[in-house]
Amino acid sequence: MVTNDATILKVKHDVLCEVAKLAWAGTLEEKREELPYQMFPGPQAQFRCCVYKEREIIKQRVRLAEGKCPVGKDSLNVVQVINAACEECPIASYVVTDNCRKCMGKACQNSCNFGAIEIGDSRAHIDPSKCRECGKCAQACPYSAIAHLERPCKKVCPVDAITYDEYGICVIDEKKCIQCGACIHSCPFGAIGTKTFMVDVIRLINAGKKVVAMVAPATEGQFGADISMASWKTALKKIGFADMIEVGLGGDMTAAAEAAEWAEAYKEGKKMTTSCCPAFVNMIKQHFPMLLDNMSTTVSPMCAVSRMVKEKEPDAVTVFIGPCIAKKSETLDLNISGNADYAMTFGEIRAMMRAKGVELEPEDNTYQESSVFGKRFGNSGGVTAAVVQCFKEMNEDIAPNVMKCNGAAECKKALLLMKVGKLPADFVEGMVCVGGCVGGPSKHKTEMEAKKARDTLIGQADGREVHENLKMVGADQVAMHRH
Amino acid sequence: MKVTICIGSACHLRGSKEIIQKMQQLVKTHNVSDKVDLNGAFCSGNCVNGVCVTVDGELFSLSPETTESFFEKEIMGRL
Repeated sequence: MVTNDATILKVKHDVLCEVAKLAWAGTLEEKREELPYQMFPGPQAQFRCCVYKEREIIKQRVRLAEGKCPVGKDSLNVVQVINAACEECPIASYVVTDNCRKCMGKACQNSCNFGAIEIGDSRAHIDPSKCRECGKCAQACPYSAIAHLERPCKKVCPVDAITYDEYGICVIDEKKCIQCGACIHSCPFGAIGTKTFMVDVIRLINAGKKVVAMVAPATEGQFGADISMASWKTALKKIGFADMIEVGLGGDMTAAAEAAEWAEAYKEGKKMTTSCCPAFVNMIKQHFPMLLDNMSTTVSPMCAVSRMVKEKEPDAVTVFIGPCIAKKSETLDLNISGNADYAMTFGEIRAMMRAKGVELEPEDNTYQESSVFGKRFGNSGGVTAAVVQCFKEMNEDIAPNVMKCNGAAECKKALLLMKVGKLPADFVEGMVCVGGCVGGPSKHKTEMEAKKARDTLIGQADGREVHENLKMVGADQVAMHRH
Repeated sequence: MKVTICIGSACHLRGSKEIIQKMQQLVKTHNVSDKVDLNGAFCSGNCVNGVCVTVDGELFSLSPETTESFFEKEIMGRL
């Protein structure tokens, strides 16, 4: 994957893998302190100012891998700042670069309303104490000589939840954070991460619990055209999972329930939003609470499958696996009963596998528990396509106008319009990651890189319809609403 | 009111899942779902005495058997 953080990804993955090894062996308690020394033996530093800092960062990463906050404080947020790793980037500033020709026109100076620009010996200079960061000078300069330095984490946060303390260290405003995870891979120092349930899941498998994996619809294609759902099932069973189910089946379940709900709302003239993207749900809860009544009460595909598993086996522990960070926060919402007990990312589960010497191996694409519509839930527009298919199957002659929001910015815009009563569409499909779940923060490959393999794998699936599949699998009787 | 229940593996093995199910049921039967917000929490390292439950930040240790009396006293009692 083309990324700004290949080196960081390796360090993060190595930490997860080492922690997983110790957890599998049951020796994490006694050996966790040794990990920083094992990974950075020193005396020379590899990436930071000194080896002591590097070891402190590893110590904090180990805590995150264990599901703890990187430093002592207790907070419920899933996304956490590894404060030792934060390099106190310039908070935000406009700086004049070498492109400046010290021209006669002085568009920069003329455009500045605050008198912050003086012309120095060789180029223009911005006085940071006067600059209000309006950006007019940067727009005005004909040589594009003024650069905007912005913290990468702050820049990508869709809800403006990133602030900083008096030392310039990044701080997440937990009241605003929707756990989307966009900041995590934006940071070129790897200073933001998430708590993981990896050690908990390993301990429960070791304790002999019946742990069932539920693999996201966005998975197919992420690891190439020859890694099928059957490959996942085999690998997960090898490391001790009792079974694996495709969450695409949950996509079918959610689509069928949502179609019934939408059909009713459509006839009443009530506008509604989807409720399957957990970051979108968090966005509504925290930033648009007045719209909660318009949010579909249908549970997410993850919850649907978890409920189905638990109906058959109440003692089963259900674990979701996918490219999503916000799913972890969904599992923490205990107001919804029967939801997944834990959620993990591809990276975390692969670290768990690698620690046991297990890899995903090519296998024939024979295992199918979901219709093509459920499988496409992980793509932007996929939920709408599945619901429209359900209308067709239900002989509902309605063609609602759905606003498909691809990414957080579009979601926010639609919710704002809805709030003021100016939403032109009947329904809103909200997906906070661009491209849908396939563009999730913990993806293995980008949407474009994975597209061909994904199309190949999904193309091999049979053409069963949504309701037909639910009957076939026996999933048509599960309770599908939040309360 | 914010109630958190630890879902870490240590508390899980001590019965946090059962406590969660009981709490969900109690919230329903007392009809207080609009007042009580049930949240899961990652391990906070206080698992020695039992399943970690907090009510508006105050820490308690529970077992499945004590859940009902706890709910009556510390949750309904505070509403």
